[in-house]
Amino acid sequence: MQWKYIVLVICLLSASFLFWKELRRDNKARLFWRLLASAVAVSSLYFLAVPLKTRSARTGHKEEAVILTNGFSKDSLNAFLQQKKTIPVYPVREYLAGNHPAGKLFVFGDGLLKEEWQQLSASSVEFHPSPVPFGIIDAHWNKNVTNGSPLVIQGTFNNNSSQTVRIALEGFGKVLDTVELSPQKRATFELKTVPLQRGKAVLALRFVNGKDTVREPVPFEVIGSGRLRVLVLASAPGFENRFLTNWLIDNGYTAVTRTTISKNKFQQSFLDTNKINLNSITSSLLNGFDILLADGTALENLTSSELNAVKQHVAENGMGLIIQADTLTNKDAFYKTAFSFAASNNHNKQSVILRGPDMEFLPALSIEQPLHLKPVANVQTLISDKDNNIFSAASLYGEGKILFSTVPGTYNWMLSGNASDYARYWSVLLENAVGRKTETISYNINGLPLVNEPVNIRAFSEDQPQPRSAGQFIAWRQDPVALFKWDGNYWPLKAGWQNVDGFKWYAYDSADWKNVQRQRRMNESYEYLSSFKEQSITPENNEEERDAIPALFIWSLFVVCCIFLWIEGKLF
Amino acid sequence: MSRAVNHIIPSLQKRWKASGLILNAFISLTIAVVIIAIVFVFKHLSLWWLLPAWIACFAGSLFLHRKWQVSETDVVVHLNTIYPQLEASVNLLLKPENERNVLENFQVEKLNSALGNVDIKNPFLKKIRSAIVALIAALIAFFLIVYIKPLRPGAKVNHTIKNQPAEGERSLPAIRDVHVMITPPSYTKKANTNQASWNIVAEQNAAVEWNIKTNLPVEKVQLIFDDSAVFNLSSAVNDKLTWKGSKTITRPGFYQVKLNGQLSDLYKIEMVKDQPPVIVVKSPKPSTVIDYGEPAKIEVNASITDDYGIQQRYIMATVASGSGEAVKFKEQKIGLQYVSGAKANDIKLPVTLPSLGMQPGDELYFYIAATDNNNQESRSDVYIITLADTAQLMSLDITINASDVKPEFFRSERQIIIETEQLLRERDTISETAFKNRSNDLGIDQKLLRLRYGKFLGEESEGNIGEAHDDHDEHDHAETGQFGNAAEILDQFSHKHDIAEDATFFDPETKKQLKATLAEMWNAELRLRTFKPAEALPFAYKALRLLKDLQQKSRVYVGKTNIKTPPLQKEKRLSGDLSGIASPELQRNNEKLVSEADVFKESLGVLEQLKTDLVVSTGELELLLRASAGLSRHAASNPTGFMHALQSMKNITISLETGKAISNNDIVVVQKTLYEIIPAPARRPRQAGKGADFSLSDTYFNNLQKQQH
Repeated sequence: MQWKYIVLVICLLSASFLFWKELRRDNKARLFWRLLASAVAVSSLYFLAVPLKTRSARTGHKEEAVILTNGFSKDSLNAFLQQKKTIPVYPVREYLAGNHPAGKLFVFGDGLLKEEWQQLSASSVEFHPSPVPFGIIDAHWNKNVTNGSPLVIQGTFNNNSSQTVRIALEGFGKVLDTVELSPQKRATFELKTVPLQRGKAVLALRFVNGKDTVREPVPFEVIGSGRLRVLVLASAPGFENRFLTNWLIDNGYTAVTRTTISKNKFQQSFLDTNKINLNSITSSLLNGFDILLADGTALENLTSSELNAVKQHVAENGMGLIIQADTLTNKDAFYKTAFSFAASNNHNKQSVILRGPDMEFLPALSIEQPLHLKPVANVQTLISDKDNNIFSAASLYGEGKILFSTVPGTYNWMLSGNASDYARYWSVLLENAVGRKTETISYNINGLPLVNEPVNIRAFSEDQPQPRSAGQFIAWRQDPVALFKWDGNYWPLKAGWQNVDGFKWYAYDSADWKNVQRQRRMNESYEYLSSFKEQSITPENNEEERDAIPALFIWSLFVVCCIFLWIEGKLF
Repeated sequence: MSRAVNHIIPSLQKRWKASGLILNAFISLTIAVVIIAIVFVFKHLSLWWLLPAWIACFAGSLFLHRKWQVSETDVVVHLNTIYPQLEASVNLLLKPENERNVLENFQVEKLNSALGNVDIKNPFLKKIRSAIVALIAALIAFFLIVYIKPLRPGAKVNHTIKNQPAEGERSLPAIRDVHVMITPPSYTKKANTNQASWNIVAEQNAAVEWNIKTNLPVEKVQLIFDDSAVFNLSSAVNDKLTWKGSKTITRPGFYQVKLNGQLSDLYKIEMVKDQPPVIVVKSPKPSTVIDYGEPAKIEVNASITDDYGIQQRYIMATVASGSGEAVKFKEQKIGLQYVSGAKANDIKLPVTLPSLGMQPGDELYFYIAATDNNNQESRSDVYIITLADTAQLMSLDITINASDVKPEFFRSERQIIIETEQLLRERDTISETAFKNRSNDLGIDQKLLRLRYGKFLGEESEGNIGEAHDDHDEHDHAETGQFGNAAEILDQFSHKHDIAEDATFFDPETKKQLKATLAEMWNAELRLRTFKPAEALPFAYKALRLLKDLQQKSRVYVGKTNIKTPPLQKEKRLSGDLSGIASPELQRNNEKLVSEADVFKESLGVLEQLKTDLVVSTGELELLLRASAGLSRHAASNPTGFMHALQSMKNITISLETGKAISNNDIVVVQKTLYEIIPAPARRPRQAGKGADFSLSDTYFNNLQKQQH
């Protein structure tokens, strides 16, 4: 639109200049003709820059065409052409390149991506999709795996063959997991493995399609667990905290403990950190910690100003508060309001089998008269037993989270050699308590990035991300409303791992995940067409329905005018 | 015409002679094949031996089977006998023409026409045919023997010489050939092995000798064991072509050849360890108590096995007698008969305890020991046999009272035993009625004692165990005020006696032993009541021993201690002053020790990266070298499992250092091995991240809070 006005202004300026020159000319003969010729020349220049379009004579008449997209079935196309013999057939690229009036389109094959649909001019569309292909039509997995966590691949497999299909997850020269899918069924599947390596790796999903073996790449990266800083307040020395802090430091976390051993006497331990003053809990002290772990008595022994500092820190700075429930007398404390408790009627020591949020059981733990949390609103259950008694739950408090745990003596797992279960239990608690850390910059990519195709990278950053990456220039576009959102296109030139400003991602070969690509086109086609039906397209607002006057005609008009002006000046 | 006829006989003679020779040749070949096949079964030899055997047989047959010596007379005789139409006149043909008379000439004329009509058959033809059939049969049998031989059981396959190097084993190109001689230690009684391949499987302490021949003279040939120990080979005849060296194999590992600075592939050394003898004792049980009345005899039943042979075996028996500080030990070695060098041996030895000098109260500790050919000794566990001491049971170790007060109402088990023995001694001097009465009285005493102990178990009945109660009438059934109260009704009609669990004085273990004691008392009482006091004695003794054990269990030894407590400071007591007490502090930093598993994990990632990207940083290369060293340690202890991976890892690091292409196969091999040895990591908590948003969500949250207030 802007282009149009720029050209118009230039043309008007040049026309007025020309008219002025004509009017100042001594020879006033054929002045009118000369003015006319100048006006026509300038206007033809304008129309060369901005194509002139005429209202199509065929408006209202629907042009029909068949558009072929990838994966169309020849048989169904032939059957269709039997009925409509005269209809023209275009491959989609050809159709988009040519200038066709909007009409009724019959689209065969997998369909198009959303952007491609938008380029297509059509008044109505009839979609003849190909049958859903055999193979994996959808797959997702966690592309960043924390060290020690499983890689979980979930997907949908369309098995339209009459045989059972076996999908194997392969890598490192080994088969890591397999799943079998029954014939004549579209089913979801899940494959799982705990990767052992550090850094990037590409596993493969392998299945047999007729005579061919199909291998789809599964790229992912194992990342380190980072660092958590935990402050432990204990009202009495105990094994539980001792084992926990040892476990934390052995795994590279920081732990600071303050254990009351007498009145106003504390035993302090600083694991993997410098000595700090722990005599009073202040806001500046809490600043250095992500999680405060305390037992109920220790919290109740805090002075009101200390407790306020804790409260403020949880609510405003997103610190996690884990409370190991013991005798809780102060019912009005801020951390208790969301929770309610119920002691078990069974006073005997009993063995309790707990399970985490992943519904996988932990080894039995012997607990004397267990204390349960009642299931109430706004509280998320984390650890429960097989009878659905809740042993640990979290609740939001301001920006942070408060988490109650009523399981005593988890160190018994460590003693009985179940170190991995101990790690599992405390990982659940700590991960659910800790707030999210704001990253200065983070990237993500939607969909399936393919080699030699533009990949839209999205970034969250307060400053503009690096414009240059791996020899390519990325033009970051800032979201006009959410100023911290950026997006830009990147063209991967070879398949494999890519690195954009430290963000590692994998560009797939165009032969990878073929069926996922096809299914994605189909899904986007259905999505587009369902919204398309709702829009009513009127001929008035459809600019595309006009024919452009050929540029050659305007050009020759311009040349004729110029020749007239030149010859007139020479001859007379 | 007559000339032609005259020639018939010599030509027939020649042909038949040739046929005879051919027949002999076939027969001799058949015999040679059979002989060679038989020899082949016992001794492996080349098939070329068939030729001389045939020639020998043929020569022999020429002497033994002389049918081939066909003379002209033989031909004539044969023709005369076989063909009557020749009228027995063929011999005329042998006569020279001028010597024949007229009649003979006539006959020859006739003979000529007759000979033209007669179809003279070769007499050897039939035999040759059957000889060929026999030869074919022999050949088929021969090939079956030679080629299907390994299928037959008991066939000896010659293992000792492997002239072909093993598959997948690569030698340095400069090495023409290698001979490795493995001499197992003599005690194994195994033969030497000679092989042309590098990988070695040898017995422990076997001497291995390498003989290496090179194509060109070289300066130095070295063997490098386990990436560390260097061993120089010496040139045998100073021609720098043949190299020799030997080494005793004491541990498994791997080695490589270094020749002019060039390193070969890695070859593995597997060691078959000499196992010590294995002793399995089937009887007696680890701890056996022989009670009074039981035969003082045990049967030692054991089996000993060893991989190369047992040299010596014996039972080491120790008798402990006495008690307290006066314990005496007496060691005895009981040799056992054995077949020296046998691989397995069973022991069945009855041992009478008194023959070892054992008396009641003594204990016998014994173990079985065996040594193998390599003087490796192994011992079984120690087995304990206890002869119960009846005398000890009778002794009272309480302080003896001045007055010997005997409880009147019941007698102790010890007393019952003493009196039973007294009764048995007096049996001959008292009347039978008196004997029976006294036996019965003792039975009653035994019953009283049993009831007394029964009380500890909650038994109330004074009758026999299981005897029915007959006091139901005592219950007042009329007072059933509450209808439908099942517990109430059940209470009235049932008896809650004899519930051992109600007598809560003892722990279950004590109760169990008490019950066993009562059972023994029952048995003793039964015998006493049926006037068999001699039979009652073993039960009484057992009951007494169990009671004694029970007594011992309740005793606890507490040693004397000597503590000096500091004097109390009275002015500080109960003041609650903690000012002088410092807060204990602990500071510990995580020593970042990189474990082998971490190195393996990291290098697994680097290897994965190498599949697509051939460039590694120096740090990553160093990591791979460390992983290689780690694999080398694993390979030294288990060459079979890690050799392949180590070789591949070396290929990768060498390729990286020299900038050559890396085989994807090598990467996969190493990754597979690493994946198997890396322990599964435990879960760890991780702080999730969130994207930058100019604190937009915080502002939103705070505004929300404000609106609520």
